Amino acid sequence: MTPRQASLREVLFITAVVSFSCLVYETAIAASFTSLTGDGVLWQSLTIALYLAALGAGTYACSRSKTPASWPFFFTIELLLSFAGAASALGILSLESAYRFYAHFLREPQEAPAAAAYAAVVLSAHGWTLLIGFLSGFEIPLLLRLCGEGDDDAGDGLHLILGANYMGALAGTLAFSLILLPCLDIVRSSLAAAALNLCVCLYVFYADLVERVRKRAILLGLAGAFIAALAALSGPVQKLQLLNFYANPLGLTTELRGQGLPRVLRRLCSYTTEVEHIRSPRQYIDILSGRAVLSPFLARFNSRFKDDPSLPSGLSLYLDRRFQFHSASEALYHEVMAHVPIQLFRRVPKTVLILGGGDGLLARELLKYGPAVQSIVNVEFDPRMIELARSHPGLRRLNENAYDDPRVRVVIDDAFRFVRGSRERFDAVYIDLPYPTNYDLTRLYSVEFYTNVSRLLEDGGAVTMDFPLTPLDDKKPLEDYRKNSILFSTLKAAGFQTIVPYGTEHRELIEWAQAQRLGIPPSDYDPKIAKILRGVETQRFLRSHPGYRPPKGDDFYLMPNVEPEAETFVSCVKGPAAPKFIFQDHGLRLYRLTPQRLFLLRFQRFPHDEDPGLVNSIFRPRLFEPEHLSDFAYQ
Amino acid sequence: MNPLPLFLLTAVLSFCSIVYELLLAQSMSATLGDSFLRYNVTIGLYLASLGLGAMLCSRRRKADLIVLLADVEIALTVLGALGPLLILLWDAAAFKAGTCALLRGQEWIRRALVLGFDHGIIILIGLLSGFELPLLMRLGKESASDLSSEVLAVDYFGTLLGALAFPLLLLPGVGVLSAAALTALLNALCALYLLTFLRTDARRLCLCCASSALCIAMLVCREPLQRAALSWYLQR
Repeated sequence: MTPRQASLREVLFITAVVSFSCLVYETAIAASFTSLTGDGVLWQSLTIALYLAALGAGTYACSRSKTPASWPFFFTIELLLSFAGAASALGILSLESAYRFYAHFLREPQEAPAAAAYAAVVLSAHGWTLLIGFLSGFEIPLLLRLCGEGDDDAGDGLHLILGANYMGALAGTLAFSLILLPCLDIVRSSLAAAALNLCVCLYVFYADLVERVRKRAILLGLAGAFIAALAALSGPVQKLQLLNFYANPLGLTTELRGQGLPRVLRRLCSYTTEVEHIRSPRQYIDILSGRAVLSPFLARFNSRFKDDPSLPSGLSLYLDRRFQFHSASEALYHEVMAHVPIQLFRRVPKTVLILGGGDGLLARELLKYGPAVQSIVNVEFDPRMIELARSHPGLRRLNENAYDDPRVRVVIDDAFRFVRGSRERFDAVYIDLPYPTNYDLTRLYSVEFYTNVSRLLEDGGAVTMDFPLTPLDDKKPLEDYRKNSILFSTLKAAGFQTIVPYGTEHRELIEWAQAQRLGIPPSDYDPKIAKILRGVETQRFLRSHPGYRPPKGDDFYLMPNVEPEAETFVSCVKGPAAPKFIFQDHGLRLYRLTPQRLFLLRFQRFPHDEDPGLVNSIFRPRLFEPEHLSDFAYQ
Repeated sequence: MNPLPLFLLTAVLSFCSIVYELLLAQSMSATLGDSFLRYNVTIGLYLASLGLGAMLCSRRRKADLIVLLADVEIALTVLGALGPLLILLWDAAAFKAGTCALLRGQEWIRRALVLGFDHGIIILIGLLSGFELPLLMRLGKESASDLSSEVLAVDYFGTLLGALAFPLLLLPGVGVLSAAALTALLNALCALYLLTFLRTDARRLCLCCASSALCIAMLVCREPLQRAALSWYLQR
């Protein structure tokens, strides 16, 4: 059978479908990079730029190519695209995972984590963007020329094809972000687009636009099998990637490092410890639980006491693969955050607003005041997180069923929108949101946001937020203190007069104490920990200070530290107030906050210069990412 | 037209267009949240309206290419410079309208007003930008050797530059309002070049100077402008 000419309608339809799937590939690639790096604006811009550049290169190559425009040529391009597109998202995620695998299991442990190498690996994954863009660049010129062959009214046809191309592209981006991503996941969305591409090939084949030769039929079958195989494999492969990502907290790194590829893979495949991976429309929620689950620090010593029955079982929460808390150390964070402002300003709030904190741990702390706290409004933007906090047995145990208390009211809303629209008044506001690492989050640290928070506060009420400030340290360059200045300047611009920064002891130091109790020899201490231990110098200073009582027993690791990893908080009062470091016993059951620790908080020094030019606003957004978050080894 | 100015013009114009769109996406994310959706929708609408603009442009075969291009540039300068500011202020205005007694509880009206306005600006800038490439390619075709495919390649290169400069330099370096003004100033300079060296048209030249003055004013008074915009945004 000889091939025939295509009608204009067929060409238009094909154009719309192929440009639809190309844009789905592009957005899926952008989404993969965003899920790996967390910075949407940068990677989305970069992906679209590289894609368009490659598209241009493809168009140029097509115009220069010696091969005449023909349906067999188009068929080949589409077939290649469905192969490349199907493998794109999974390929990018796998490349990143392969590097992580190498860093976790194969590299020598002494080598420092190479941020530059990691960045290079992630960047090199943009080869997919270039490949898909280049191949897509051939499509439209080919279709334009193929359409011009048959019809007499070619001029109008050209415009219609361009129109179909643009409409297909629009539909692709909309369908990806509104339908595909919420229903499937990133990998399956790109597979769906590849299947669509394959359908175009099938149509071209069966509608007799190309000769039906056996070679083409085999290639079609191969492409179909490839897509089906990837669809079947994508679940298990992503599960492996997840285990590989959490190898440190799962204790797999120390257990398996240097044991050879086959053994590590076998062990990973047989791994049964719970990693609950929950995909909500807003984010990925990962809950690691079980006896072997450790905080990032203890993970290093896992092989030594994995079978120790005295080791408590741990639970860790990660949101979008970022560490939130570990059950062994969360009390340090939440007790200090909740109670210190109440201690400093000597006022138990009647009405409380919690922004974020959908795990219910902060609410648990505030409910300890009994009837003195009359109501808590908790604003959380992910309904799935609240459901989990209500239903997950591990989380329920940790938050002591805080959400069953009638005093707690949950509002599902964006915090920015809530504080802008609300007409309620509160005695205290607690802000427990992710750090401003991307432009989506930085609006929750803007002067607009804080001004509205201040509006919701009663006079004399305090707002407390968790923010990783840079404490005073002679060795640090001045540039490191800039993020302190951004936050303080923004808070001043929002009208807060009294700003009290405070910090806790080092989280890792507490874990170090746990390691000591578990009998891990000092030679195994991380160099980082050794550095902290040199903080004994500071202790000597403290001892000479009148009023200082040396810590006893379990508190031997107690010291104010000057490490960037310390949990730090900022409390601000609406109106003038003088903080007093007097511990008032409200009769609460506290594990970490003691009179000594409250006293020690005043030794924290956080330098900052106010500068009206550094205010963070939605008109002038600034990212002020804490540096330790980018530490590869601690993820 | 000589190849070098033509290529420069193409690169600058495509740079400006993509930066405008990304700035609009950023302003929408700032007011409405959910930046992944906003950026995707913006890119989709931009590509679609770019195509639509190119189609509209091909209807105007008789027009003087350079004058038409200069008109488009002047319009883009004004819209591009003010676009992000308009999105942010319109959001505040709609919020205020939503708090008045008549519209209270009618959240969807406010949302529809905001979304319609924001996407309208995106489409308008996309349409105007869509005029550029066909005009430049026709200018390329008219030159001594056919430069139309080279113009296309340079256009993609300009887009690449813009999409890199936006997240790495413009947004962290100068912020939304000044980035818009800077980019618009580039656009205005292109129009100025077209109107002084290639055509003399006093009326259009006046308009062009006025639009560049607007950009320069936005840059010089960026601090007071930002303060004023902020207080308008926060006023209830």
